Order: sequence, then C-alpha cells, then structure tokens
Amino acid sequence: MELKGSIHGIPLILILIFSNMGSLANGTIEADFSGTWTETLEDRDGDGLAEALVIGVDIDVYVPGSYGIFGSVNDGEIVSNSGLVSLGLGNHRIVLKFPGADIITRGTSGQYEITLELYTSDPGSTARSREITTRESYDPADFERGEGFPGTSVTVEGPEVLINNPLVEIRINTTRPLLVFSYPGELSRTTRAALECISLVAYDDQDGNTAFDPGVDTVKYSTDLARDVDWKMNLDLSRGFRIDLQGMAPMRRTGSPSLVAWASLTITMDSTTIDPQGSSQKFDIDIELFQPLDSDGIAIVQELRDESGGHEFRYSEDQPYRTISLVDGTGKVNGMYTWVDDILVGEYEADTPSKAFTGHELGQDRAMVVFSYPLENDTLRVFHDPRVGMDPKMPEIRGEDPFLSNRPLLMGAGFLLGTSLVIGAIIITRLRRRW
Amino acid sequence: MDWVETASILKDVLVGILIILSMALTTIGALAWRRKRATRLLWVTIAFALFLVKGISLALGLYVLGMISVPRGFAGTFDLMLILDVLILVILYLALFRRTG
Repeated sequence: MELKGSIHGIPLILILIFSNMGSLANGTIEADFSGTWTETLEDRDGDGLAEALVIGVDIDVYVPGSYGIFGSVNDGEIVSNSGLVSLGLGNHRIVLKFPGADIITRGTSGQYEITLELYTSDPGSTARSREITTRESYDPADFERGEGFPGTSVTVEGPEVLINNPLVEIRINTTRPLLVFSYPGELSRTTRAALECISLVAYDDQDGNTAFDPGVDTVKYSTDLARDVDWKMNLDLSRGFRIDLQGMAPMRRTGSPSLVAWASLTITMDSTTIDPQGSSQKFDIDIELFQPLDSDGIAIVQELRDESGGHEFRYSEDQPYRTISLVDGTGKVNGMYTWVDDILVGEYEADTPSKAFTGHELGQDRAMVVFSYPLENDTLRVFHDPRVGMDPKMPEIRGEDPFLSNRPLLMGAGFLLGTSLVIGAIIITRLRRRW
Repeated sequence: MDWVETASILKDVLVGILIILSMALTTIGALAWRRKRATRLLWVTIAFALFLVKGISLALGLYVLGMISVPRGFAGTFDLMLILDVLILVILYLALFRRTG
C-alpha cells in the first residue's frame, strides 16, 4: 500500500525533469526574430494550385555573420532548411518555401504549426526558436507538385541597416532619410525615437532673422524627401562601418513645378564618430547644390518622433550644444538629438566656417526641428554634423529575480505537515496493533 | 502562478517535511538501537541523522544565513532532490521497522 502511494510521484518527477530542460537554453543574442512574419501561397503558373507555401520571417542581425533558418511544419512532418546565409547588420527577411509536393505527400490539412529555428555557424551561440501558427487553413488539394520547383529556398531582403553600439541602437532606413534610435536589446521597444528629414526648402527670409520660419518666410523651392527622392545606400563594412544614404533632390519652384533645381543630400554615419562611451553617434549632413539658388537660405525640416510613447520633449542649451531630449514619466532621458550651430560652407568644398540658424517646435509626441543654412557668397555646399544618442546611464532592466524566493513560514507549514504525517503513522500503527 | 513559483513554494514545504521526518526517524532509530543494540540499527540511525543534518543545514543556509540561493532554472531539480530524499527516508523506514506478514 505504501509503495502504491509513491508511484503517484512519478509523473511529478517526470514533469520536474522536463520542465527544467528550458533552463539549458541560454546564450548570447547575435540575431533574433523581429516578431513579424508573412504567409503566402506561390502559384507561378496561375492555375489556382500553389507550388509552395511561402513563409517570410523578419530577423534582426546584431552581429554580422552566417545564419540559417530551419523550419518544420507540424512537428517535423515537412521540413525546410535554409543552410547558412551570410547576413550583415540590420533587419532581414528570410523567406522559407515549403514545396507543395511535400504537403501533398504528407496530406496535412488545417492550420499549420510551424517551428522556426534561427541558428548560426558559431557553435558557442544558442539557436533562437519561434512557434507560429498559420493564419489560414490549408489542404493538400490547394497544392500541386511544381515541375522543376527547386524545393526550399531562401531570399534575404533588408529595409534597414542596424547599428548596435554598447548604449545606443540605430536603425537607418535604406529608402528614406529616417533614423530610429533607442537603447539596445530589450530596452529598444520602450525607448525608441525616430528622426526623419521631411523636406528640403530654399526660402527668402521675410522677418529678418535669417532662419526659415514655416508659414512666415517665402518658400521658393522645396522637395519632399520621402516622396520625391530616390535614396541609395552605400554600405562599407570592411573597417567598422560607413553608411552613406544619398539622394538627388528635385527642388521644385513654388508656383512653377516644372522648374526644378537639383540638390544632392547625403547622410553619413561612420564607426569613427561614435562617442567613446558608445552612447551617441554623430552623423553628417552634406548638401550640394548643382546651381546657385536665388534664395536667402536653404533649410532641412526634420521631425523627431516618440515611437514608444510616454515621453515628453524638452529643449535645453549648454553652449555650444542645443539638445532636444525625450524624457519619460520618471524624468529619465531616453533619447537625445544634439547639435551645434557651427557648420562648414563653400562653393566647391565645404571648408569655410559659418553658422546655421536652428529652430524647433515641441509637440505632444513629435517635435519639428529646422536647420537653416544661409546661402551667401556663392555657397553651393553645406556640411553639418548633429548627433543622436542616449543617456550614458542606462535604465535598469526590470527582469525577474534569477533566484527562487525563500519563505521560512512555508517551511513551518512543512514542519506541521511532517509532524502530522509522523503522528498519523503512529496512530495508525497503534490502531492496527489493537485490532 | 507559474510553475517556478509553485516549485519555489514546494521547496520550502519539502525542507520542513524533510527535517521533521528525518528527526522522527532518527529518534525511532535511536530508541530501537538502545533497545536491541543491533549494529545495523546504529548505522541506519546515523544515516537518518545525516539526513537531519542535511535538512537543518539547508534551512540555515536558505533562511537564516542566506548562503544558499536556488537559481530559478534549478527549481524543478531542487524539488526533485528533496522529494527523493523524503522517499529514501520512507523506504528505509519501511525496510527496517515495518512488521512483515
């Protein structure tokens, strides 16, 4: 009888053993799933039957290297392995194709449970895994055995480049002048700010302050930097990194849109211009006009946005620095956009010191920042170097305590339980003796 | 409540049970040895006493001195060890003191 009682402990023992397996998974994050994914059917011949189920998964690469994705449908019924692919810094989409032939052979119907594992060539790092369930239900009758279909395949696409410094993470969009910056890693989602160059404007100063004042000064030429400019990125990772985002801006004359003046705008980030603490990154703004403009100045209108919410903007000056900070409810600074008014200008080279005129307007979740550069003495080139960054004092990551909590009172409960067991055993023994 | 929290509670209760059970069995073993003076009873009493020492050391390390901290990832295994200790005590008791037939 007593032995039967102990048998009930076996399932508990097995549960305890298997539940501890998860504690083995621990390692450095070199790349991870971004959280977004897509599912589509590929029907190349357009006959209504798909040759493959296509799953696109976004990943963030923090350390350039070789990565692969292993995908498995319904616990290994259909598998797909990308093999190792060389990936640079930033966000990439890995596309896995599960061939229709395999789906027909396995005859699986319904929503598919797909396990994705992101692995690396480094044996010391740990695979990241993710479970997803397809949004749609599928049936083998939806598929066909595609003739000459290559089986599983992987493509890599990247809408942004990611720079991961010790205290600041910066994402640079490859098709827009948009920088998203935050603390790195787990704090990224709660401390994210975006800085976007909205427009490039040539203006005539109406109020005599030299700076461009939207709504007051006359706009003579302008361009929408997101809509009108075809941006190209050059990425050099041979020594640290150097990123050039360059676009040719067609500046259309106000009232005569067919009259276009051309300017080149280049935004450059370089690993040599990270501050020593790794908390901020300078970037260069180079403007090159391809013809003199009959305007008093040229201005870049920028928007600084609070992407994670819960922050307010504060402007401060500590000569020569001007800063707009994102401050959270506790007063902690979670993002800074800093600049000085010193610029370099020139006709062929930007080599003559000059001053920019900067203005700002703080809103609820966004702030407008305007850098105005006077066009005098045949100025065709302008160089300015602002900085985005985070407070070097990183907030504490509020994780769970790595150790179990101890409750002496519960041990007291254990004393009572143990005493009850002993007394119970003594009483039962005496009763049995009497009978 | 997640399973780690449950395992944490179980750990404290099991430490208490281990101490009381080993204390009771050490006492029973000592009384039996005093009555019969059999060497095997002395050895098994020493074994029970060592379990008692283990239980008291754990309680002191966990709750009084703070020298022992159980990692969350080790929660299940720690409970498993304590459960096995309790089972060993019960089986030893059954093997030695339960009347057969």
